[in-house]
Amino acid sequence: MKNQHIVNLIESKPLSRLDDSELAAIERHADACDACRRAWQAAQLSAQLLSERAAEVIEPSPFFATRVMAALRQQQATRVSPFLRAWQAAQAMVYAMVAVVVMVGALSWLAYQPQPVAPEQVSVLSSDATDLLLPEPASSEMSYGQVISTIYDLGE
Amino acid sequence: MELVSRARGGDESAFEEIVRRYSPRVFHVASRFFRQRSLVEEAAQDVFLKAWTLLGDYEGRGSFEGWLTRIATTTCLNLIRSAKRRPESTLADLTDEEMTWLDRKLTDESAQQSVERDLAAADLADKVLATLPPDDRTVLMLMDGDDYSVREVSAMTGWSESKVKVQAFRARRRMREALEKLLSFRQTRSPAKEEGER
Repeated sequence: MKNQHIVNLIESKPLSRLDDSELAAIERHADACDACRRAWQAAQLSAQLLSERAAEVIEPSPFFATRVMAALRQQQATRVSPFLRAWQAAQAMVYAMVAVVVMVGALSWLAYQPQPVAPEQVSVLSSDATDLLLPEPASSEMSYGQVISTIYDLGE
Repeated sequence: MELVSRARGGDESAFEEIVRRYSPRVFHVASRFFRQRSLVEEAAQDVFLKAWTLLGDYEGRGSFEGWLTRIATTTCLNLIRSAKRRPESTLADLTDEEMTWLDRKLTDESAQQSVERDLAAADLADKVLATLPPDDRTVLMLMDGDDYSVREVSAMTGWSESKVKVQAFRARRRMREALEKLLSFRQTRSPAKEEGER
């Protein structure tokens, strides 16, 4: 063992798990081998640093559970919100479409309504004006009397 | 177990009781990975939020604490994997306290066996660990720091036992090499030399 390098041994398990015979063999070899002595020194330092580091434990604060539950509720709310948001967006779109249809309908109805005539406009309209406004009946639409009188007029 | 089944059914008060009961355990695991309270709390919160969503997968075969410990370990491991790794530590990175601690270890052989809780040592450990890959840090902290067995680390990380052994072997080598480098720097630049330069 004295002539065997001990690097593999010291890396095979935590130093705390090396038994007495292994430790003795390591010490013996490290006395005679510079490289292994440096490795052994570093391994001991590593073990000590890690145990000092492991001694540090942070305890939870009394409010930790409350904080977790608040985060949980927030997470649940944000998980539901995409569906809610999509649903709300769809609703808004439907409302907008209904509003547009109602507006178009109302405008169309207003456009096709007969324009009411004001009374003063009616008084202005004389019988002459009525003649002008009303289309003359076409010749084909003359009454029987008119046709007869026209014939007699032509005969005279 | 009753708490767990109630929480699985969506009972938030049962889950709150679980958080209260198991948070020391989760904080213990998170403390292996992080030193700042805010980071530990953040990681522990992530663990419980994940546990809430995974409660349906818990079949009750092993202990609930073991199941939660595994979630805690993998969550923290993923968090440090996503964080940027520090470049190699050099003497310039060390504080005066850390240098003094290192010098004391180099000169005083008996001090190496002491069990004093030294903040400088924990700081130095953190600096050296930060230069290692996340899997190395995890296995070193759990096996060499907390003294967990290969089987326990395998259960915590979900790695096979052979992977844990190989990972630990490589991690110890990397840690040792990083420390050897630091020690050789320090020995070539001993306090006496520094005094002479001044």
